[in-house]
Amino acid sequence: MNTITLQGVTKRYRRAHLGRVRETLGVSSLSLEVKAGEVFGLLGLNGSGKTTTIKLILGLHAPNAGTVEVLGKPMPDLDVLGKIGYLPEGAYINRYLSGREAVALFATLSGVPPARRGRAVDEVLEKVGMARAASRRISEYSKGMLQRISLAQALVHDPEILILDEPITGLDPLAMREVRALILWLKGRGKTVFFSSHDISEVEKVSDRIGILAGGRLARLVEPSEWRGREGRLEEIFASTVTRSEDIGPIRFQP
Amino acid sequence: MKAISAIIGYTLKQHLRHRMYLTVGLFGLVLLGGSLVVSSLAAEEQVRMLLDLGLAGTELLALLAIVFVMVNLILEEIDSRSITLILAHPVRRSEYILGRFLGTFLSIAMGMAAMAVLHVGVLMLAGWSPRWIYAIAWASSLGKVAVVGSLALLLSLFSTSAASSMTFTIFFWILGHFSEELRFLGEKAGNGLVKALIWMIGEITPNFSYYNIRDFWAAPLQPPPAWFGWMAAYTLAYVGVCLFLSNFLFSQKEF
Repeated sequence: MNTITLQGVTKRYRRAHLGRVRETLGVSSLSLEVKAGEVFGLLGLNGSGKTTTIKLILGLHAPNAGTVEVLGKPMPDLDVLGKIGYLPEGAYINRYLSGREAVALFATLSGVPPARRGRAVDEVLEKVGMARAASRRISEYSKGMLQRISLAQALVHDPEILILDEPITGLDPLAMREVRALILWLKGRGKTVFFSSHDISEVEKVSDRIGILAGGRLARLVEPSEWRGREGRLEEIFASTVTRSEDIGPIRFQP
Repeated sequence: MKAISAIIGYTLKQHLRHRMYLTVGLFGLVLLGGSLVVSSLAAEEQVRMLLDLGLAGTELLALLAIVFVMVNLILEEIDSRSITLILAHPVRRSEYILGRFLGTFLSIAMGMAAMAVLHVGVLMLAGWSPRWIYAIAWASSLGKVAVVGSLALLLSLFSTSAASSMTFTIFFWILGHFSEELRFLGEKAGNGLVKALIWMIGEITPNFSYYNIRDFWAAPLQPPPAWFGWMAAYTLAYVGVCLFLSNFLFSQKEF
């Protein structure tokens, strides 16, 4: 059974300024299926459409064409959103709240019953290693602490589906290893994990299948048999599949 | 309902921690300065001037605070992208708008209540005995604050520039004190287009004549129940329309 289904999805952004309209392509004719209990990695260069795909799945953006379904329902659907845990690329949390207040807020919004809320918040804060710093304000946190609180809010309601947008970007090697362990832990508990990254070595370590996005299109779907046990193979596939945006050239310094 | 109360809760915390209570401190300074200035007057004159100064100060500070806070309320969350994380949860956009508006309105109302306590205390020290008309004047200021706050919210979603939203809100706030003059001007205008334009501006502009207690204050008379009814009905209708339009504009946005 498919947990996430995108069928021929196209998203264009229109920006108008002083009567001049500029249109940019987010994704084009994107079709993708993610099975229940699968860890699906979405690889792509900057601007390839990874975050757009995630926002379409969450119903934050409406497609110009095509359909997006999660758990068999067209998005946005409030019941389905309650079953999703979302970790955004940056930790977008109101800086006036404390870590505990922020996690409790998202537990409430996700529908965790009041009787279970306090325990759920304490448990998840303990799991992400933030129990001792939870009473401090978000504005006082380091980047790593913010990422952990963001992770806590994504897990506090024990969601069926985890959507992680660039979960390892900007993390130190130790934290990267912890996120990898988390994804494998989620997989072990039967959760569906959809995550985006441009770190090939991390994606290949945890994914069951990998989609490569290029220029807003799904350029290639890579099965595990194509890269598992073959060092450097995924990097080769990636390099031969993607092309840089016409607006960005290569860095040309030679040693 | 659960989502609305959670959003009201975090909005209240945000305003409290953003040191909105400093407005009350500023009001205290205004009162202190006023008391010093009028200390040389006769006791009756002293009370009358402190009464006028305090009521006008409460309304002015509350209106300035709500315009500034309401205009930045959602724009800040869009800039910091924390809105993305909230809307990725099972929260209707109307619940978000209503929760943010009510949370901000409650914060300002609490600040106004604190200013009133301070004001009444100073007046009683000067020999004033509390009168019912004071509570009515306070309630009419609160009504104005609700109306101007809802207009500021609507304009902030319409223009997306904090400076222009504030300018327009203050423009309509000033114009709202001349609603009768606007109507008269509309009736006298010969040109149909000008007439229509004045009529349109008159309809958008809040009509503050519903909050005018000057006639009752001077007599002094208790306003009839119909006066309270019209004030409450107008406030609810104006705020309701502004929130409805705000929700419409907000639902068109993608984050």
